[in-house]
Amino acid sequence: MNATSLTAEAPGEAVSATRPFLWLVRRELWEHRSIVWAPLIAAGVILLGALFNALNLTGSVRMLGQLEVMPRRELFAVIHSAIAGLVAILMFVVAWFYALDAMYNERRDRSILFWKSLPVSDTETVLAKLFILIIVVPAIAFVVTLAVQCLVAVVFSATMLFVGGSDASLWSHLPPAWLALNFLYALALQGLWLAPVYGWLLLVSAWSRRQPFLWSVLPISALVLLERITFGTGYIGRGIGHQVMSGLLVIGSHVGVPVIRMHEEGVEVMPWAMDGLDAGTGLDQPQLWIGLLVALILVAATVWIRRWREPI
Amino acid sequence: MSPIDATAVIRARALRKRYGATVALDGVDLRVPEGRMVGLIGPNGAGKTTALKAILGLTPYEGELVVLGVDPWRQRERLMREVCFIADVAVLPRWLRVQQALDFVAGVHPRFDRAKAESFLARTAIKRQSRVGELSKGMVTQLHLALVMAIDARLLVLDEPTLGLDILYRKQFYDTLLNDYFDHSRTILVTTHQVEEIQHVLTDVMFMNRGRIVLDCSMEDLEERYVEVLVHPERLSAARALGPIHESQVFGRSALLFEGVERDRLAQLGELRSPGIADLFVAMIGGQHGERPGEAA
Repeated sequence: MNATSLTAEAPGEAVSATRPFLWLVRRELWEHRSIVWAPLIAAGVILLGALFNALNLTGSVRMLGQLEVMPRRELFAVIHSAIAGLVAILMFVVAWFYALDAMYNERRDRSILFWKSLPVSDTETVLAKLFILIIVVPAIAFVVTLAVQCLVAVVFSATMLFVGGSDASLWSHLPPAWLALNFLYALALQGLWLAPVYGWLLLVSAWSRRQPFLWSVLPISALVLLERITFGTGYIGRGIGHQVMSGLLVIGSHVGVPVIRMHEEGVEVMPWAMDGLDAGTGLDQPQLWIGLLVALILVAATVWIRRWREPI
Repeated sequence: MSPIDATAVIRARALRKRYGATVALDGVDLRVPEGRMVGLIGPNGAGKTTALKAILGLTPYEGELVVLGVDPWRQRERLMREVCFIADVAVLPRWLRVQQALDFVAGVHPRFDRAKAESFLARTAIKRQSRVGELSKGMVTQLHLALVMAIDARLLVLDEPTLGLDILYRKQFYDTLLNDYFDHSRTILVTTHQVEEIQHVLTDVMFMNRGRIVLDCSMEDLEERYVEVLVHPERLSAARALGPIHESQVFGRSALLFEGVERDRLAQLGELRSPGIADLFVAMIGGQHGERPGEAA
């Protein structure tokens, strides 16, 4: 055996394949605490708002107490889905800034030289950051949304009780339990829709020497403008717009926004209806899959760039 | 591969690297055997850092380079299991807690001995809950050294590891390294501008200038090969006839530096001294370096 070659891996010293990856993910959360704090603060604000309303608006709710079950459910459905929408949009903003920081900070504070001194490949590093964006951020959004929705439901029910609703209707406004699974599915879909956006942001973060935020926006704007001037068309802008909007609207179509249908015999309100709200954001959309391909290319490019990167 | 090369930890042949029009490495040949502590000395811009970066797989290069049997640029993460480096002072991120640093390295490095790192840290005033940003520069270096020394590595590369530290921390740094880390199965490659402080711990020295290795020699050979003579004024012309490689004035007397001249002959000319690395450096590179002689020393 050659004395100066790398020693073969002894069975005892082998770190399992998944453990380093989990540490890379934890490392991201240590550095970017806002991923956890921002939704918690938002949750606090929403709950405070709900409590404040409960105390302040008992008058108007008292009126609601007299109403039929249906409108009460409708009102709650609006609140319920608004919470999901708010948290989802907030997490998109958090993810955006995280992605731009993810491979820019380590070069600015020179710590890339420390990370690169450890036996971790650039691929693992970039995938850990992508994992935060596609898995961790949606998971936090899910937990926080569910927690806030439950607490708001309790506040809502307590208010109902206070203004004197009947016991039977006390919980009747609550959504069915499967709605939570539906929301989880929507978050997963959102991650897929936004994957190319995150891929682009990671690429900019790994590549730019200054002002990553401007670099994340300006080249795209320039491209859209160039297409407008030279061809007079707007395919790029519409394509990107559709991608991002699908990523955001997919939440709306899975959280139980009440659907109102006009019939000849009257108005039908369906608080937790999932049908009729298909905004074209499902797995059957070709653009979703094209976007995933683009994301794959962008992430591969990011890995390649990170290999060459030095402190700035 | 020749039998001699089989014991080399680092082997480079015709290593080249250019940044645009600037040639950083201009055909470097070097060989670092196992169990040596090698000082790589050179003026600013000589190519030291580029050479180290190539060795660590941080930058691509032309030519042949083998570190512990692998190509560093293609297999950096594999190489890093047995190579450690401190590339600069203060590369630990400010947000990292001491505890997290230990957890993280233990989590990703198969050859990290956590208990060892803990015992090194116990000798310092560093608190587990502190963030790196709250520690002094000296403490950050202590922390980084504790992490690195707890890794059972074959090669340790240090690029200006004590830059900007006060003399107590600098001395402690090399003492710790020498007493608690360095042994015959380990190899250390270090660059520094504080040449005098480390010359007694080195086993080998390499001078680099303008992208080339201009001297590669063990410390024993160095003492044998180079002699400085404080020449008696009346023997100056006789001394000059022997072809000194450098001449300088020390306390009003001429100090002539000779390479490979017999000691007996030189002893007749005046008082013999062993030149320090800094003296040799100025002699060999100071003149060529042009406008800014001796800057690196």
